[in-house]
Amino acid sequence: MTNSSWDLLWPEVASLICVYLSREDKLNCKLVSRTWRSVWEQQLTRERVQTVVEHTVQQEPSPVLSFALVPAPRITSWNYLPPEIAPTIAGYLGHASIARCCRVSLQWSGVWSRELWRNVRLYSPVQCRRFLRASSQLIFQASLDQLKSLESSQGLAHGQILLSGRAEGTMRMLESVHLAFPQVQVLVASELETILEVVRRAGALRHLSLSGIRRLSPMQGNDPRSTCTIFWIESGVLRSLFVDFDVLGYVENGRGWGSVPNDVLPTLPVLEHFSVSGLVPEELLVAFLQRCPNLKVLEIHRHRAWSMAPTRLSSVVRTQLPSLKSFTYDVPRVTDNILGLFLEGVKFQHLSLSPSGSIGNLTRSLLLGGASILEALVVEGIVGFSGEFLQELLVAAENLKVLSGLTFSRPLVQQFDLEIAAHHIQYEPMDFGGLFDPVVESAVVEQEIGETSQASDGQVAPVKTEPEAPLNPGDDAPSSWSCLGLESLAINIGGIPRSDLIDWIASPSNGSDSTNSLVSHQEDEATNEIQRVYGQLGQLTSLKELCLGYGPSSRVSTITRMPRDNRSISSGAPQPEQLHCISMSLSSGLDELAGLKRLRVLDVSKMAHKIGVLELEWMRENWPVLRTIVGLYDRVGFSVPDKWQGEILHEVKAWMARHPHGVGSAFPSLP
Amino acid sequence: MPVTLTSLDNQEFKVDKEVAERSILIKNMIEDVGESDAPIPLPNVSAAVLTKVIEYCEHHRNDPVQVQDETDDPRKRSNDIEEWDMKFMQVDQEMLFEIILAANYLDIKPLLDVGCKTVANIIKGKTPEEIRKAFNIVNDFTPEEEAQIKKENEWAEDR
Repeated sequence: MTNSSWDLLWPEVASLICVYLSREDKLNCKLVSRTWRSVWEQQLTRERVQTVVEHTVQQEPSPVLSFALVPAPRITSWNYLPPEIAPTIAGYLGHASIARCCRVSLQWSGVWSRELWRNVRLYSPVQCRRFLRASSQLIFQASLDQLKSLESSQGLAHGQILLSGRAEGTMRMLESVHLAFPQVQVLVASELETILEVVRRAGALRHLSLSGIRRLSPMQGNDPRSTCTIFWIESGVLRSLFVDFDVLGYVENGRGWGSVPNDVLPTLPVLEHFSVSGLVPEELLVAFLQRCPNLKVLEIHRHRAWSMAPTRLSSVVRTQLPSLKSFTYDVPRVTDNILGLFLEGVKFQHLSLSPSGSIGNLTRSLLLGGASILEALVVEGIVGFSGEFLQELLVAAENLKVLSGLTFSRPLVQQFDLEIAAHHIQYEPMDFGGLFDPVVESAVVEQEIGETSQASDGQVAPVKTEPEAPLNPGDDAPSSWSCLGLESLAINIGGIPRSDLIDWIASPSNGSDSTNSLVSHQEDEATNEIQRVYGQLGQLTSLKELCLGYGPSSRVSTITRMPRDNRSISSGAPQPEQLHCISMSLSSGLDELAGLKRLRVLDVSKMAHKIGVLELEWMRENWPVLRTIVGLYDRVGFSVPDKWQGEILHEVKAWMARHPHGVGSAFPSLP
Repeated sequence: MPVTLTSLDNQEFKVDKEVAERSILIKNMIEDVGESDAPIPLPNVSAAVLTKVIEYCEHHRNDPVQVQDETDDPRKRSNDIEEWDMKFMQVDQEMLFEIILAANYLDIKPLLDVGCKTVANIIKGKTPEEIRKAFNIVNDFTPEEEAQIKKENEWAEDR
């Protein structure tokens, strides 16, 4: 298809033609092509402006004359913003900017008000109040029909607003509602009914999230059904449901929220993601889950432990949810046996556990059994996850993509969308102390460190006394990991001392060189080990996010090989706590990581890294899509030698000043 | 093997296939037609714009293919434009518009994104009048209309 040159109609020419055409003709011209639409839109706009001017000046010059004498300001293409572009731009803007765009011009107003109304997020109380006030206006009512997603921290009020005066069949576009209730102490069941009424009317609602409800009180008459309305929800299109109650319901004389309905409710055919948090009775959960034949993601977050082993719940999870791929069990004090109940005989692709008790042999063997299909493993707390076990797991888990110590404590707004939840897993480091066993350790170092901490601060955690076996030079290299598709890794590699840090610990006050470093042959061994660690990491060429550093539960204040807290001592599991064997410096072997071409985020905020100018230059060269380095200046949780702060920081800041966009422009800005 | 692209004003551009295929539209065309020496007509893109687009694709020829997951995030950041891209986008508003249209038409998602980020950065923090100035847009509202719209959207404004 060849285009005639007429497709590229010049605005100047169009304006000359314009005067001979009727308004209808011009409107028709707008429909000819995209270019023509833009050009004629401009003509019509110009006409409007002139009309306004004429109206105010009260005179009527001939149009041609007016054009010739007073050339209109040059109208650029931006006067006509293609509606298909606006959503992409709007994605980068906040409400306020979009609202201001609405006031730019008529055409912009039409395009941007759609964007403004598509996703309404109300988090400041002032905004909420204004929104409520505006709700009486006619335009507001009309705009509600454009609403696609509503997020609000004043959930209840908006539940009612959405309902007030709206006939059935409206809110056709509404796809997702996230209501948080920060100030509501007790939600009356009838109020929950109001919100569920909104759900019922909004026929397209696919995502519903209700969070922060402290307590749900029953209706008068103590009808058990009224207090658990959320579990009676009916919808043919709902894909995800998040409910977060601190306490759900009410018990009296054995009746109340614990009761399960006798009547059979229809299934929720497309519900894929269900997240529940709060003290929900097992029976109620069981009854609900039996209505979800296509559930793919199940998250159970609890603030209190079950009183008994959830045998019925685990049985439903294992046998009646054939599509279940992702399972989160975030319940305090979960035991090996309870985890075993859920994991026995099933394999999950995504598994998030919070083994704050301890992981025993049963869970370990079940995890290893399902390792081959495991894609994401997220664990909070590390008791029972020894480096050796993780090593074994990583050798077996060939499909693993995400490995981290994150807690999904509560459903977050960011996890609202199923896809987002799957791809934007935050990463928190997990301690891999001893991962690269055999452990390089020496009694000399132990003692040295013990004395140091005693000297630096009075209160000293008990120092482990029994010396570890020194590295045997004849030991085999660790078996290779099979999870080479790993995309997100939050890791704390322990087990191998760094000579530079040992020097620092030995002489923290004066910063001078210590005479008590590793004996030379051990140092060589450590260097070799460290090279192997870099080599192992360097094979993970799919990595997008790499976080190095202490685990979130780490309590250590120095880089000693000390038990982290009393719990780990009592559990009897030795916690080889070692500051990271790698420092991300070129001299220590950073070059081995040159293959990590997809790395976007590097988090070194929890490690004593030695990233200087050379390393930054290297990263620019070798990691083309790196956008963010977290913690280049601000390290979390511990201090690094002053010497580094002075040397490296100064240079790095100077480098940053020369490269305002850093590695990526999201590079942390100068303080 | 090089591919020939023809701009709206009939200029021919020879580029590597790998470079041309940063455009999903062209990639699909080549897949549909198969290997051929025939030039690919791009009737919606002028030579000046096509030159810029090709410059972008050349520079990003080795980038990994963008994965879908980032497009779904409703809270995207506009401040993470690469240095090179930032310089590349330092063009007049007219050209910026043309590049965005071309990226949309040619289906080059990263270029579209970078263009839209640039626009977003221009819009951010500006008053409507400043936005008009920045993009050379005519204010066709009556004062009354503008006041009305301001009132309607007050809930969304700052403070």
